[in-house]
Amino acid sequence: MAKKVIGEIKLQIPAGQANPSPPVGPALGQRGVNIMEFCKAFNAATQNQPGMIIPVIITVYADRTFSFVTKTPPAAVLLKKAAGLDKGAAEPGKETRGQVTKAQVREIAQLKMPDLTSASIEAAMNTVEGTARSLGLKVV
Amino acid sequence: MAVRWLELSVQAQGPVQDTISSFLVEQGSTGIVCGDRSLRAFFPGTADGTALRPLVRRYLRGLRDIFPDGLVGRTRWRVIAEKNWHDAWRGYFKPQRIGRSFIVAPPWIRPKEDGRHLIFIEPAMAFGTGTHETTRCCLELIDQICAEKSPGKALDVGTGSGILAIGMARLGVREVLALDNDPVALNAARANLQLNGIDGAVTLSDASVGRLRRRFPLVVANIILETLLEMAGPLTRRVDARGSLILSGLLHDHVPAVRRRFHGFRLVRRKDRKEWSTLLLRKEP
Repeated sequence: MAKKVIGEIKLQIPAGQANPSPPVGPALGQRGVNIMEFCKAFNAATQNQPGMIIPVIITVYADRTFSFVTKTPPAAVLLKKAAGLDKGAAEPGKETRGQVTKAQVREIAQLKMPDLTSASIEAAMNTVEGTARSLGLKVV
Repeated sequence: MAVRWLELSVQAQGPVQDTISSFLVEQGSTGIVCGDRSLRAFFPGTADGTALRPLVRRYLRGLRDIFPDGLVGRTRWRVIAEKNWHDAWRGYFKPQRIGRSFIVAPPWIRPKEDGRHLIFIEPAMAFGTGTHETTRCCLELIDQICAEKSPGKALDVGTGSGILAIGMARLGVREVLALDNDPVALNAARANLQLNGIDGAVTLSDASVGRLRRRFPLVVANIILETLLEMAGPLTRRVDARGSLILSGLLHDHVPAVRRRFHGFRLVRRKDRKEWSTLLLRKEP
């Protein structure tokens, strides 16, 4: 299988709920990717994570075939789950909606390390703490 | 009234993209397309975003203090009309006439066969839709070999969608063993065999070529350089004396390394198409 990559598409979509509507349809359709095949495969791969937003990278090859990899949920989603929140702050920096512990921040930073560009766990924790503040979460 | 979607583009980079995505999904976005310096969110319905726009403005204003380097530009809103996205991608696939014998088509098109062998391939996750130069060159060489004398048996290593195995079966090869170590490819090949009404002539297997003991008058491997070099020994041993070996998935400058590694073969034909090379080798007795 000689595979030449002609593009990469990065999406964030709810686990188990991919369908041909936006963003999946327009993003994949304009690359000639078989949308229903992607939806079926993505939904099968993520059906055990209901309610989670899943980042997915779809690689499109020269003959319009494709492969995809799913990533860990975004830090914001993991933080809200850790804090037991449905929604983050509507106005970041001006409201407090809950709290997370430093240990939870470290755990999320460790989980997200492969996807972040941070050079160290401390730098990754700083990033996650910034996300926590934007959600209205105090780090205690 | 046709359904409309509201598309929001935000110029943002780095970790703030995840934060914004999370907020936009909370506001009803069905998902996000992430670029290097921007993201796009989609909101279903016919609303013009009157309620949504001030919420987004207020949210992004607050975010600037926390991620001063993350937000790099303006936001843009536009309304897009609902389309038949389900089928829009299909426009990229047209029937392909390959060599003298084949016409390859997606299953939703029934082309005029004009005496050619029709191969249906569902474009999906397994390589081999008939549009790639390496697939086309392999089919052309298979066509040439079968026109001289049907090999009777053949081995297809790295079958992907199964297109080459189906092509060989169409040309009368009675027994094709098609290997792939990827379960996704094997499922796709199985579906394509069914789509083409091929039963019996092609056997699919996840066995490695190194475990085979039989020899074949024709062996085809359209893979990649590294794998071909690794498999050189086992592949060589699976070819009959005076048998044919088609190697593809090679860039032009890969050819010398492949020729050096595959001892005891004579180069019968080389096909160069764009940056790709395909070799037809014959085993010396």
